[in-house]
Amino acid sequence: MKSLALVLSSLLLITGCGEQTPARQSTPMDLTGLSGVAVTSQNTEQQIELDGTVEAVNRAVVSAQTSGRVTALPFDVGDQVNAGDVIAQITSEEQQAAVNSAMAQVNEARARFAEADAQLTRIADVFKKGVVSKAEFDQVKAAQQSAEARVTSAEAALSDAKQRLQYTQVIAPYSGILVRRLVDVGATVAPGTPLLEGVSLADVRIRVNVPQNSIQAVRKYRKAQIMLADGSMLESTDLRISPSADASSHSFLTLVEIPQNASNVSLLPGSLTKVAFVTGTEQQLVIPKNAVAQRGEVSAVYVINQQQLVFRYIRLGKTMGDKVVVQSGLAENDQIASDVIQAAAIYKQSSVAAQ
Amino acid sequence: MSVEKPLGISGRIAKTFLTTEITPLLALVGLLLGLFAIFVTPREEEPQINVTFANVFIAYPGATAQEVESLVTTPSEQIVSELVGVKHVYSITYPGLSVLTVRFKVGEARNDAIVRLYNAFYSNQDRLPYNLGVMQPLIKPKGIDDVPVVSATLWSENPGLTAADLLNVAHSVEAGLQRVAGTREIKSIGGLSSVVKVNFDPARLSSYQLSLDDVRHALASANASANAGELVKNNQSVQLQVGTFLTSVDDVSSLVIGVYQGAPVYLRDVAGVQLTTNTPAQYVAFGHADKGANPAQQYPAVTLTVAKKPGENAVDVAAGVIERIEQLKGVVIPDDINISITRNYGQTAEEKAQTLIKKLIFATLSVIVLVLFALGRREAFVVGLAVVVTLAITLFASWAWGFTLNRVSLFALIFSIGILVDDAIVVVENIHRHMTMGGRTLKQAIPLAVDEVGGPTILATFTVIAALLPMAFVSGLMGPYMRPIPINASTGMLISLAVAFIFTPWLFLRLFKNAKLHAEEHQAAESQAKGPRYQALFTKILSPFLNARAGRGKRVGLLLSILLLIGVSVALVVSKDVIMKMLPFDNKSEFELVVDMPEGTSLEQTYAAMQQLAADLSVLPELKNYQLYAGTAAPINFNGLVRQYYLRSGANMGEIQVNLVHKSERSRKSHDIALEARQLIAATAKKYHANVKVVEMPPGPPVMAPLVAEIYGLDYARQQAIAAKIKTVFAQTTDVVDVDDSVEAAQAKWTLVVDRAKAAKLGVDQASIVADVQAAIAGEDSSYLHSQTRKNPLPVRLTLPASSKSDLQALQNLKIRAASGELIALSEVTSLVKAEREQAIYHKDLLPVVYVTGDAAGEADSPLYGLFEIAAALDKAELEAGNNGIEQFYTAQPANPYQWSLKWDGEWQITYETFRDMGIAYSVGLIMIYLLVVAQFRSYSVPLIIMAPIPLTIIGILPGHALLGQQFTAPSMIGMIALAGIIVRNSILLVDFIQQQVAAGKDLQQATIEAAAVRSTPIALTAIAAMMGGFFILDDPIFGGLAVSLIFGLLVSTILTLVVIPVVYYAYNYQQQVNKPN
Repeated sequence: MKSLALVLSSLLLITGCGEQTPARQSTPMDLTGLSGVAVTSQNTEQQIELDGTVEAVNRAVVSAQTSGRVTALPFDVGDQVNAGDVIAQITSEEQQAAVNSAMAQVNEARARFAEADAQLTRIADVFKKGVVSKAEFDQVKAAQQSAEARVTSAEAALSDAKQRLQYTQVIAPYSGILVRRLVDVGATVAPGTPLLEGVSLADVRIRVNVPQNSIQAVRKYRKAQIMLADGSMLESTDLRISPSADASSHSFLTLVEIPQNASNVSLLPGSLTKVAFVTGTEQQLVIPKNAVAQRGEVSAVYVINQQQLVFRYIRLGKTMGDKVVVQSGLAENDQIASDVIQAAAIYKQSSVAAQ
Repeated sequence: MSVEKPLGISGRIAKTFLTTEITPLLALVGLLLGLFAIFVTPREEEPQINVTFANVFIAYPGATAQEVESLVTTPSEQIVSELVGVKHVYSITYPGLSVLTVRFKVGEARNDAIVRLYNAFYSNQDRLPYNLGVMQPLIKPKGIDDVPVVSATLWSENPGLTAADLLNVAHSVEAGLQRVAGTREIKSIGGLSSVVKVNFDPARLSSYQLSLDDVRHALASANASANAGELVKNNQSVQLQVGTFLTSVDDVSSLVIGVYQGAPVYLRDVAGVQLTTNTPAQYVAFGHADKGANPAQQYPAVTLTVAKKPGENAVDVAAGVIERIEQLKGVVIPDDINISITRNYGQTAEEKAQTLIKKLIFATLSVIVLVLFALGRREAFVVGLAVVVTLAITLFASWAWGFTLNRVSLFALIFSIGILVDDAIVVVENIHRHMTMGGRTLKQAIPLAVDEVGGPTILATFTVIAALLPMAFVSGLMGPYMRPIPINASTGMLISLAVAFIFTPWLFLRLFKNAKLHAEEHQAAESQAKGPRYQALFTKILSPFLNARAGRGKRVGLLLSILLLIGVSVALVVSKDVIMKMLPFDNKSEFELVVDMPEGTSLEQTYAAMQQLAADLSVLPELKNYQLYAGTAAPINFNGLVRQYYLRSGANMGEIQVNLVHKSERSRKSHDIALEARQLIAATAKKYHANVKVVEMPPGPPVMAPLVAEIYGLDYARQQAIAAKIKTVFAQTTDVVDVDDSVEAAQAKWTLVVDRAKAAKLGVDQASIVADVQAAIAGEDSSYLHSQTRKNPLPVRLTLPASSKSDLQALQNLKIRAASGELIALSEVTSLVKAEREQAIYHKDLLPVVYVTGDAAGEADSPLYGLFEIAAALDKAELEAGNNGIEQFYTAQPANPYQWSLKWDGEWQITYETFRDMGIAYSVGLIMIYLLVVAQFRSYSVPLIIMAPIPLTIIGILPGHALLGQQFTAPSMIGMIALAGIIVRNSILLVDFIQQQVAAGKDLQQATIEAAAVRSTPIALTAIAAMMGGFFILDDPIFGGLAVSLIFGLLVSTILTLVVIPVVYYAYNYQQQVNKPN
C-alpha cells in the first residue's frame, strides 16, 4: 500500500516536472566549492569634466618707480627670488643729490629755528616785565613757530628724497620665479616702465568656464576634483563662481582654489588641467568585474538563490577600478557567483543531470 | 502447348536468374539500398521547387517616379529581358528608387541565372554617366533556401527587459547557432539597436557661431586612430599607435567642437548626447496561450530565423538548432528570457515523412493481406517480399534522382503500390496456374509461366508508364511540385517488372520446392469451385448484349446509357456539385494576417491596429501563439518568398504570424479557422481603415494573390481610376474577400526648394543644404563608438530631437556655413512647397500595369468561380464614362494594349497552365498507349476498343468527388491520368484472352463470356489492390482528390470494363464472324 502511494506520488512529481519549462530546475544544485559575493550599494558621485587653466594668484610685473638708468639686474629668467631681494638697481646720483640737498635744507631750517626760539625766550622775559609791547611779543612768537614748521617741512622733503633714492633698488614683493625680463642693464627707465615679471608658484588656482547647463549643480555641490598629471585627484571645495555668465560664451567663470595643505602639488600656471565638478550623487549597486559573464553582447551574472543558480541578464554602467556599476537586474545583497566559469559548469551539469 | 517455342525476353531473364546464387544477394542489396535511402534522404514537407529570382534595387535619390521609370526602370527591364531563361520581369518604381524583380523559369540553374543577370548589369554599366546620381544596382538573388526552416522567438515576462536587451541576447545566440552544421543565413527580426544620439539644437549651434558641419567634422576626426609603424628603442621594436577611439558617451559629449570667444564649446553645450535605443523602425511582439496565459497579453520579442544550406536535411538542421538553443541556456541565454520555437519545418517534415512511411507500410501490408486471401499464404509471402524489394529500390532511385522524402514523392509510392504489386501478382498467379497443370518440374515450368505473361505484363507496365510519364514535362511551378509522381511511379513500375522477372520466380521456387503437391490440390480445388460461379454470373450479365443482331438494340441502349452517365457526371461540374480548384487547402498549423494600413500611417498607429487585431484573434480556441511584426516582414515562408513579402518594410505594413496547436489537438482544419479569423478581425480592420488579408500557406505553388486582375492601358493615371472601379466590382462579388489594389493612398510630400540664385549669391551650395537637412531629419551616422563586445557597430547619430522633427520652424533655424565662413539660416535660401507624394509605378514585362487582387472564401472557396462572376459583371459595368466593359484576356498579356485591357492572373494563370499541360500530357499519354497497343495487337482498330473504357473513368471520378464533397483538383487529374494506364491494362488482358480463345477455335460469344469470367479475378485483384493504396491517401487534404479519382474511378470503370469491353469487342467482331462464312 505504502509503496503504491510512493509510486503514485512520484508519478505525479514526474508529470509535474514535465510541464515546467526545462530552463528552471526545481531540484537544488550542488554548489560546493562555489564562492559567492554580495552585491553592494555604494554612494557614487556624478561628475562633469571640464578643462581649466591653472593661474597663479600672485603674478605681477614690477615697474620702475623712479627714473634713471638700470645699472644691475641680479636675477635672470627662471631664477628663484625671495621676498626682499633686490632684483634691479637703477642709477641713484640724482636721487642721492636730492637727499643731500634736503639734508642741508633741514639743517638750515633747524638753525633758523634755534635762532627764533632763542629770540622768543629773550623777549618773553622782557614782556613779562612789561618792557615790550604785546604786539612785538606776538611777532617774535610767530617767527618762532614759522621756523619750527619750516623744520618739519624740510624733514619731510628729506624723507621724500630718501624714498626716491630707495626706488633705485627694486625689491622682490613676494617669493617666486622671475619669468620675464623686460629691460636690460643700461636701459633708461621712467616711472611706470615695466622692468621684470615674476610669479609665485606657491599660490595657484584653476580658472574654468562652466557651461550654463551645469552651473546649477556646480553651485549646489561646490565640490571639484582636480586631475593631476600623475593621475591622482585633488579635491577642492573652495570655489569662487561668478554670479553672471559671460554674455558671449554663456559660461560662468569659476575659480577653483587649491587647498592649503596641498602645497606640494605641482600645478604650473598656464597649463590646462581637467577638473571634474560634482553634479549629483546617487546610490549605485556595484559588483566585482570578474563576476560578470560577458557572452557576446550579453552581460549576465549567476545569482545564487536557495541552492540554485539563476543566470540573470544585467545592464552594466561605468567601470570603477575592479568594480562595475549594475544599472538593472540585481538587488542589494543578492549573492552572485564570483567565478563565472565554474558557475556555468555547475549550471550546465545540473541541468543535464535534471534531464 | 507441347510445341517448344523459343522463350521471350522475360522467360529468358527468369530462367537465368532462377538458379544463380546472385539473385538473393541482389534482392538483399536492394533492401539495404532502400534502408540507406530512408536514412539519408533529406525530408521535407513539400517538394522543393527550384525557382530562382532576383531583386534588383537601383536608387536614384531625389528623382521623381516618372524620371526613374524612364531613365532607370525601363532600360533595366530591357537589359534583363534580353536574358535567356527569364520568365517575367516585374518592377515597381518609387520616387527615387526602382525595384526590379526578375523571375527565371522554374528549373533554371540558379548560379547560371545569377551570373547572367550580374553580367547583364555589369556589361551595361557604362550606359549612364557615373555622376548622374543613379546608384550602382544592388542585386539580391532569392531562392527557396532563403526560407528559414526554424524560427525561435525570444520574449520575456520581465518588464525590465526591453527589446534592446532581447536583441543583444539574440545577437549573442546567432554565432552559436551558426556553428550547427548545415545552417545558412541567421537573422534577428525586431528588437531595438542601440545608438548614441546627438540631438543637436540648431538655435544653440547658431549662438556659438557653429554649423552642423563643424559638429560632423569634430565627430568624424576625433575617432581616427591608426597603427603608425614601429619605433626601435633599446634593441626592441615598439609598436606605435596614434590616437584612441571614442569608447564612451562621455567621450562623445566632451568633444570640443569649436572655440568661441576663447571658451571651448563642448558637444554637450549644443546637443543632447545619450546612449539610447534607436527610434523604432519596427515593433515585434509575442503572445501565447500556453498554460492558461492570456493570449491577448503581448510581450516585446525578437525572432531569430535560421535558414538551411541547399541539400541539407531540414530535420537534422532543425534538431541541431533546437539542441544548440538548449545548450546556450544558462550560458548565453539568461533564465528570464523565454525562447519559443515558432517555426520548425524540420519537425513538420519529419512528422509528414513518418506518417507517410507508416501509411506506405500499412498499404503494403493491406495489399499483402489481400493477396493472402485471394491466392494463399506462401503466395502472399512471395508477393509481399517482391513489393518490399521493389519499394526499397524505388526509394533508392528516388534519392539518386535527387528527390527528397516529401509528401509528393511518398504519395507517389503509396498510390502506385497497387500497380507495383500487380506484376508480382500476375507472375505468381501464372506460375501457380502452371503448377496446377502439372507435367513439369517447377524449375522447368517457371520460365514458361513467366514467359507466357511476360509480353502482356511488359505491355501493361509500359501503358501505365506511358500514361504517367508525360506529366513529368508539365511546365511552370507546378511541374517540379508534381514531378515525383510520374518519375517515382514510373521507376517503381520498371523496378517492379524487373523484380517480377528476376526475384519473384527465384523466391517462388525456393518456397514451393517442397510444397508442390499441397499447392496442386489446393489450387485444383479452388479452380474447380470458382470457374462455374463467375461463368454463370457473366453469362447472365453479358448474354443479353451479345446475341448477334438480336442484341443490337440492347447494345445501343447500353451505349446510350453510358453516354448519359458520362453526361450526368460532367454536368456535376457545371452545377457546382464538383468544385474545380487548383489545389485544396492543406491543414497547416499556421496562417498569417497581412496588414496594410493606408500609406502614410505612422508605425505606432499600425502597431496599435495590429495589437487590436491580435487581441481579436486571441479568442480562437486553437491558438497556440502569435508573433506580431509591425513595420517589418515576418520570417518568410515559400508563399511569402514568391509574393515577396520580405520586401515589406514600412511604417504602414505589418504581419501577424499565427501558430495553431498541432493538428492532432484540434478538430477544425486550419482553413476553417482562417475563415473564422477573417470574421473576427473584420470590425477592427474597418475601424483602423486597415486592409487585412488572411493568408494561408498554399499547398502548392504560390501566386501573388488567388485573384489578380492586371489592368493595362496607355495612361497610368486613368488605369488607376479604372482599377478603382474594378476594385468595387471585386468587393461587390459574393465570396470575394481581401480585395486590394496597387494604388497607394494619397500622402503628403513637402519639398524644400533651394533658391539657387540666392544661395549662389550667399555662397552656400545646395549639396551641403541637402546633407544638413538629411542629417537633421533622417539622421546621419557621423561616427561610431568602439566597444570590445558588440557584434554590430554602435553609431553616433547626428539628428534633430524627435520632438522637433515635426516642426519645420526648428529646422529652418539651422545655419549653414557659407563660403565666406559666415553662417546663413536655412530659411533664407529655401522655401517650402507642399504637394502630394507621387504614386509608385508598377510594370509587368515592360508594360505599365495596375493590379487589383482578391481572395475567395465562402462556399465555393475556389477563386475560379469568383473570377468568372467578376468577368461577367465587368462586361456590364461602366468603367469609364459612356464605356461599358473592358477587354479581358485570360492566357497572355495583351499584345497591344491600346485600349483598356484586363489580364486575369494569379491562381487562374497557374491553374490554366497546369491543366493545359496536364491535358497535353494526358493526350500524349493516350497516343503512346495507342502506339504500344498497336504494336502488340497489330491492328489499328482493336486498340481503340481497348482504350474505350478510358472515358468510363469519368463516371466514377466526378460523382465520387461530389459524394465525398471533394474538390476536383490537380491531384484528381493526376489520378485520372494514371487511371487511363491502369484501365487499359485490364482491357488488354480481356481482349488478349478473347483472341486466344477464338484462335483456339471457340465461339466468339462463348469466348467473350469466358474471358470476362476468367479474367475478372486478376482484374478485380489489381483494382482492389490499387484502391487499397488509395484508401490510405483519402484523408490527406491535398492528395485526397487523387485517392477519390483512383478509388471511384477504378471501382466504376472496372465493373463497367468487365461488361463494356466484351460487348464492344463482340459488337465489332461478330459482323466479321458472321460475314466470314459467307
